[in-house]
Amino acid sequence: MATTTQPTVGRQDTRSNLVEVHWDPITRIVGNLGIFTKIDFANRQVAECYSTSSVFRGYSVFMQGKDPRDAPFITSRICGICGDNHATCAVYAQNMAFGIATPELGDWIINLGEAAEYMFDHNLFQDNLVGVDYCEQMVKQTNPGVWSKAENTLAPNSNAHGYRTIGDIMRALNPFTGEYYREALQMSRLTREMFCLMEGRHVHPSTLYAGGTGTVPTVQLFTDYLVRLTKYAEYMKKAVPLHDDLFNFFYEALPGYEQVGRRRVLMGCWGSWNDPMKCDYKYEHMSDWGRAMYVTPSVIVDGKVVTNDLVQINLGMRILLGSSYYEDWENGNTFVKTDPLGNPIDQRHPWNQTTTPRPQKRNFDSKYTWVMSPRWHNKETGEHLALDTGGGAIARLWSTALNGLVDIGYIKATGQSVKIHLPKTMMAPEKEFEWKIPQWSNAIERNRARTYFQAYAAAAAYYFIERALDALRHGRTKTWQEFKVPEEAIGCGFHEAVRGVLSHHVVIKDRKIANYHPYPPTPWNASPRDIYGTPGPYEDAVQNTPIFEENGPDNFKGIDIMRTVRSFDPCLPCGVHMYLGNGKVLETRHSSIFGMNH
Amino acid sequence: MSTLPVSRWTDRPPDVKELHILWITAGLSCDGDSVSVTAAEQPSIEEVLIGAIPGLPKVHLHNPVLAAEVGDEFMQHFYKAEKGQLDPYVLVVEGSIPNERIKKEGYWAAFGTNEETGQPITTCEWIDRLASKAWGVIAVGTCAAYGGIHAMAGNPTGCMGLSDYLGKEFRSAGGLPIVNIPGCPVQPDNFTETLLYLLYQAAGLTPIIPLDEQLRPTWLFGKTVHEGCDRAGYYEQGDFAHEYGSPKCLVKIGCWGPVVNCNVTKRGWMRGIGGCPNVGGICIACTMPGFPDKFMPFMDEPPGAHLSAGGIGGYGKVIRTLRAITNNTANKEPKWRHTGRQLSTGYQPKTY
Amino acid sequence: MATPNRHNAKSSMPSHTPGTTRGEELVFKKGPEPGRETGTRTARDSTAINPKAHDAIDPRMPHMPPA
Repeated sequence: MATTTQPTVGRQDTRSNLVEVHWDPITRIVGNLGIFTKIDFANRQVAECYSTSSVFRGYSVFMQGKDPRDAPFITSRICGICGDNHATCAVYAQNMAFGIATPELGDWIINLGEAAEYMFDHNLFQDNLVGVDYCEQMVKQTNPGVWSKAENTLAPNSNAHGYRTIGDIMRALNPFTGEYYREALQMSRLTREMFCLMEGRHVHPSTLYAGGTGTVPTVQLFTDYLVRLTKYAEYMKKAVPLHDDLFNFFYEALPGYEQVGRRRVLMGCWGSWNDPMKCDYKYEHMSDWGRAMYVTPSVIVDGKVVTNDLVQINLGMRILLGSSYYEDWENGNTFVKTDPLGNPIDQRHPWNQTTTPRPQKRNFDSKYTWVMSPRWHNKETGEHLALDTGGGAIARLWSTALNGLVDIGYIKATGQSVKIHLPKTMMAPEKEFEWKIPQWSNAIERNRARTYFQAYAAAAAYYFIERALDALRHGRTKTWQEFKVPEEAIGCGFHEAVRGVLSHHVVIKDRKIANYHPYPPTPWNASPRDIYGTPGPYEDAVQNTPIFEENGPDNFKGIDIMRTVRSFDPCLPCGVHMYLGNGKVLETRHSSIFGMNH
Repeated sequence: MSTLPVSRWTDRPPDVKELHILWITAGLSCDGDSVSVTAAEQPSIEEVLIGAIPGLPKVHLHNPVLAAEVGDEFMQHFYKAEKGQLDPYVLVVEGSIPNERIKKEGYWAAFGTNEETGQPITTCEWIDRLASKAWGVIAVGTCAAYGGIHAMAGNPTGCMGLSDYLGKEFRSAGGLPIVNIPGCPVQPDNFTETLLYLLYQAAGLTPIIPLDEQLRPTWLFGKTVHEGCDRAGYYEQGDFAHEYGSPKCLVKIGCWGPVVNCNVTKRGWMRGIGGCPNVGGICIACTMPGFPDKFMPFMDEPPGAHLSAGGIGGYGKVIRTLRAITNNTANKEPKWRHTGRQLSTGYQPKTY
Repeated sequence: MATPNRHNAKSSMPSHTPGTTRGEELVFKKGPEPGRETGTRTARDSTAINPKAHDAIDPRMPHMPPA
């Protein structure tokens, strides 16, 4: 059954001339993505869009027959910016399959490492990759009118961040020459040092194993992390108001900008950071320890929580094929008939998926990508929902806020917001930030949420350090649990990669991997139209994007489309594709756009 | 070579004034090496690009993860290089090189679109177009150097390292062999330090970069992990970890350090922080041509370790006992440091 | 150029060799290492040279050995 979304920008004359514009590759993301569009300049909107990723590596193929203990090491290599999220999720899945739990201090160390990863990755992506879309150089080229306004608009929080005007902020975001750009790059190194303290090296950790960590807990370890954390917290007291000023300015300067990248509120969050006092890694108790996570999991539809139960979330996962280069497995091997609680597992569930690649020529009318279509089956309504993560931060904050469960002194979820407390740092007093659930799921709010989540991760890290030091000082120093690999087992891990939902599903037979399917956030976000006709999140979001750029077809940069795409923080090493378009045949005029030189 | 005094290299105009770096991430890659490069500090990527060290060529970096330009604007540099309009340039390749010949149609890895056919241009084709015209070619990360993770047994793409694809005898337009900087990902400063060496070479200030038989810079990969590991003292004393999380030598629980060429134990991961066995992570030999197959399953004790760790046991026990005796003595102050009216330091006072 | 059809890999090639030690089971075989016998750590965990001289002297002091 198709789930349609209502476009919020009305279509007018269907015989308008369209101009084909493509950007291949999209830069300032991780991985390989190309976008092919047809732009309706007369009505200033995007009429059609295809996106395609052109790299296939085959993890689910070559992991078969390998030792499950190697899964964290191998799956880390799926991604070069968030690989440790995969390694962590693999540890969670193997723990479940082996019937063990990471000891308390091991979990605090992993939580601290993952906190550092969020602090690092969001920082680098926001201000060294996304930030270029909002910098002086770019805004001057795409919206000169907005630039002159920015030069003359005082930044409301200038006292907090030190930039007098919005124009000053934009100048500071210029790539390499901008002062804030370079400061962000430095902070991204500080945060990676924090990560290295806990997980050894970045991005592919050396100290994570099934059963816990090999990191040796000492006074020095936690002191070195804490000292760096305080520097980051001080920087966040500047970063949050700076980004609020920048993003609010766009709403003011370009009325209607809330429609850029807008989509129905249809989000998934699989939860992050286990509470070792509650989490025993057993599937039978997953509903409970899932709700105890320090980012609460849930499926959110139209602003309401449908479920925050990881078992229900697991049961609802479906992998549909749309326009991708694979053979179907509907009549293939059924690896898992029921979950450990006796619930039936669908053939289209990751536990039962068989990946058989069929490389072929690219054809935008039928198959043109290496990606599949993950969907969440809502058993109440029968719909296959195309959930998005909004780049990760917005779904995590939205889910945590709505559920109202997280309360750790430094963070409190209120039901409609999340309060984040950063303690006093060397040169700045304590500060509380409140992220309120926004009116729209759009490009600006996804980006705003990213900076707020950096602060959230820093606040969570203060809590984790306290718990870790407490464990150390009381002699609870075990960080890894010994185990024996069983002959047969199944396991699943639920985690939040930086960009959103991450799950690993493993089937073990003869002490070897019989089946392994990781589902990172980007296949969800960038999935194509599935067999039921449901479009994917990028489709909705780009389709609804009006064009505010002042350039015409001759020197069009597509900045509003770029901002939309990057708001989802695309990370393509898993392969991506996106197609949108309602198939209306329109007269088209192809024009070659580029001849620009700097 | 330079005719100025050595101490004024910074004033000497470089032989090559400007150099472009064309960075292909579209091998079978996770982009981890590009991300790693943003972690480098000795030097940092911005220091290289903004010219913190004078006397070297001006560098223009074309890497898709960092580039301001998008799409065709970004690709134009690659097309120009192919036409000989961007000389000199260094080609950096990231990711395993797929085998596009093992199937009838389609592509494992590609970027950019062929305007005539509308099909993507494969990464292999880009390498064919650009490698031989480059002043230098760098394979960054183990995937590009030797195939790496994606080239493990059972893989569907038949992928390999760049020197498997181009041949080990390949020489760039500048006369260099492929420069392999392995690591999974590459250690940040290993990359920028090697890039710095090549810039000195392009400037005319240093001879051709020294590479070993695996085409790795000799000053980075000439030691084993074990020779640089700060836990080697435990090994020597016959003190071994039985579980992960122990501070002791990890050789019985999976560490391949004694036979792996890598400097991560010596320089840490960033600013001396982190690394692998020095901080509790078994060495999985991620810099080596044999990675990963020859070292899996990673948590198993390497066969050689059983023998050598067993052999050191007896020696270790004896030496620990002897050291304990000496340490005991060293932990006691000399007897003449005491209160009381007597001076027993050996000095005979005459005046008091 | 590699010669085709020689050195064909078997898919299950890199797997555990029976008889070798599995790292995750070593502590079952050999017991806890010296310094980790009680589940918490003593100075012997970090040094083999006069460990008793390196434990804290007062029972109120936490056991916090170095790396």
